[in-house]
Amino acid sequence: MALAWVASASSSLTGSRALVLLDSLDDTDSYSSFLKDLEDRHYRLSIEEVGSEIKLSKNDERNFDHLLLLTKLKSYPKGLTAKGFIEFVADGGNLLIAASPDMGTPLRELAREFDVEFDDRQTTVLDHFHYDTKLGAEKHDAIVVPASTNVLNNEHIIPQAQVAGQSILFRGIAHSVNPTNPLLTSVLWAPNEAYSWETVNLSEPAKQGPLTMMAGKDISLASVMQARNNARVAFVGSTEMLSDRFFDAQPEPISVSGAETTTTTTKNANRAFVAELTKWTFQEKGVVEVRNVHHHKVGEDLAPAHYRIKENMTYTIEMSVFHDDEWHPLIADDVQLELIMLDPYIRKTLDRIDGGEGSTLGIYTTTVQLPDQYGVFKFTVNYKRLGLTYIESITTVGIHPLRHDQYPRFISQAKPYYTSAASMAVGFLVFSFIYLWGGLDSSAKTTKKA
Amino acid sequence: MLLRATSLAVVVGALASAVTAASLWPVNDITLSILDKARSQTKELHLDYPTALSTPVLAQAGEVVKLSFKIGEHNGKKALPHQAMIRFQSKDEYADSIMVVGSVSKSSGRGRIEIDLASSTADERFKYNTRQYNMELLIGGYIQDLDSFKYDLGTIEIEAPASNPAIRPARVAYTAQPEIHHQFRPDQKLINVVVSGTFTALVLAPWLILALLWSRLNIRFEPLRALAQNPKDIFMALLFMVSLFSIETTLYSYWVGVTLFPTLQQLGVWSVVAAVSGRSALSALQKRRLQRTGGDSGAKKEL
Repeated sequence: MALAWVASASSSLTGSRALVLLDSLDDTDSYSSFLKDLEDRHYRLSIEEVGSEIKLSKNDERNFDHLLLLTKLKSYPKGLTAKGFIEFVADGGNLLIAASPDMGTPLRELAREFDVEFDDRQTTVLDHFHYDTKLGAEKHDAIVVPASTNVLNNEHIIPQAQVAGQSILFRGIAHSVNPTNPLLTSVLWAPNEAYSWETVNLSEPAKQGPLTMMAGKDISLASVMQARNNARVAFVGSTEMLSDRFFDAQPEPISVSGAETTTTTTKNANRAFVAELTKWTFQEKGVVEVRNVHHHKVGEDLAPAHYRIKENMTYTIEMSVFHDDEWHPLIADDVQLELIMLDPYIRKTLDRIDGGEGSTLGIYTTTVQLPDQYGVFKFTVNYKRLGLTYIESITTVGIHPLRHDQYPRFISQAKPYYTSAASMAVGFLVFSFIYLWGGLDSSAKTTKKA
Repeated sequence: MLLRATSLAVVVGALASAVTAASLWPVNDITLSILDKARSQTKELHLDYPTALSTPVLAQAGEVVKLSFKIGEHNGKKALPHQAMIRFQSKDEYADSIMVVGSVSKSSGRGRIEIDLASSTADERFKYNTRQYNMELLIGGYIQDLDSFKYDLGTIEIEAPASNPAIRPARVAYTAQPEIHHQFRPDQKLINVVVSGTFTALVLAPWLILALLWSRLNIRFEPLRALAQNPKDIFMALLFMVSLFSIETTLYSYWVGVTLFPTLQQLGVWSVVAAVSGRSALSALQKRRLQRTGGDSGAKKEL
């Protein structure tokens, strides 16, 4: 029984329990490929309607590891508010939010909690230059986004190799991510000519103050967030993008180049894109762990109880990254060690050494001379990179000043003093010897007189 | 009016490609003008699709950039577009893409796209810095058989206000940080070794004088030779000197090693040795001295 469970465990490091929230259970059919892909990756899916009672946690334990909101969320499920969803993420649960132009206010509010702002109600991303001639013929709203140029180039989230040269079909709502929030990144954005507007009165020009029009690259179609506790949240502006219809459609974008307008076909990358996006969101990849931290004096092997100022110290950290169901060595060239006592005193990039074949450890090491400042220092590797788990490894070590007898004993400056003291000592011995046994006649005479 | 060739739809599966006979969106009388603050025209340029401006246009801070155009008819009706916009693509490293929305009159079909650089409604990004933009006119909409119109207008240089320029919000991302190399305090500066060497030599100089004076005193070590007849006396004399030397060595090691208790132990041992051997050696000397000063046995008896 236990064995069977282990064999069927998902490749997610968070767990395999996933809850899918739908507006109606009838929608299950339209997402069958997407849900089947998840089941093939050994997720145990619970599919629920938004109207039913949902308990995300019980006795402060999460009931699910992943939550997929494929719903308009016109109202919150019974006994659940935005706070409940946020607590789920704060407890380490991963969340996927798929929105649509007719999304409800609760979903909009929930996204806002993560610094993601969806465009106004009933607006849709439109593009007269990249619409799909089949799905978007009427409203130019099903747009074909070239993956090579409009997908974030990050190997840890969506590897270019999976989607390059293909196109992503999208019909949905625009959102913007706060550029000053480093936790949040857009992974898919609209083509340059796209704009976001209501699809009513299509025969009239879209008029709007220029301040509120979202257009071009500023429109995020999908974005990801990794919270400080390393829980991951993904936002997709289109529920249709995950549907069977969009998975299976052959994109036929209109393409305008100068006076030439042609229709071509490209390969559909929706399934690959969504697979990579969910793999990342559900912690199937880009998860980094620190395996070991060593530090010792140069020429020694073991960590001392404390260091002295200006000693040479070797620091080594070993990290692994999880992807494709296995741990691999983390390969990077920008891992940095910081020696911090309130402020960083030293920051140095570590060198990677090869762990040998079959090793799952990325070994990073460096040797530094400790500062000439004593106190309690933190040896910190603060490795936070887009797409990877945030790593903050802290080792607290005391650096002591020199002991009273560890200072240099002889300084050239004081040579006359040393010499006079030594001269005095030798003089005493020589004088005593000469005076006692030298046989000075005069002294004998003096004694005689006395 | 530009007619365009029929597009080629690639055959997909069993579907036969649909051959569409479409024409380009009718856009005429495209004029780019720059208006000064009083809205009087300072520059007017007529554009002919698809020819772009040959030289960059300059718009100063506070001026108005205006593009006007006229939408033609299609099948006897005004071909009103849904999208009438100019995309400004900045040519600097930030590659900003700014979309400016225009309006088209339903009755006349006259369209205009305006940026009042002095107004607060103009996109903030125009105010970051004086920079060059590539302009692209985009006209698109929902009329069948009409293809979207994209026209590369050419380059414009928009001046940013000299005073109070807008501040570009920086994209915050996690990256490697610059390395920090610790500045060690410099070693204490020492006096030149030549100076300290000279003074060392000066300190040793009295030895020369002492040697010179002693050489005149005619030292013959007679008492020492006399001691040779008595092994016990010579042993005690030697022990006395050794104990003095050891006391000094102990004091030296205390100075270099600074360990008080071993020093006290050694001093305790050696001072007893020095006292005993010193007393013996000195009494031997006194005995000899008394013998030499007239064999005063009486004095000896007194001791």
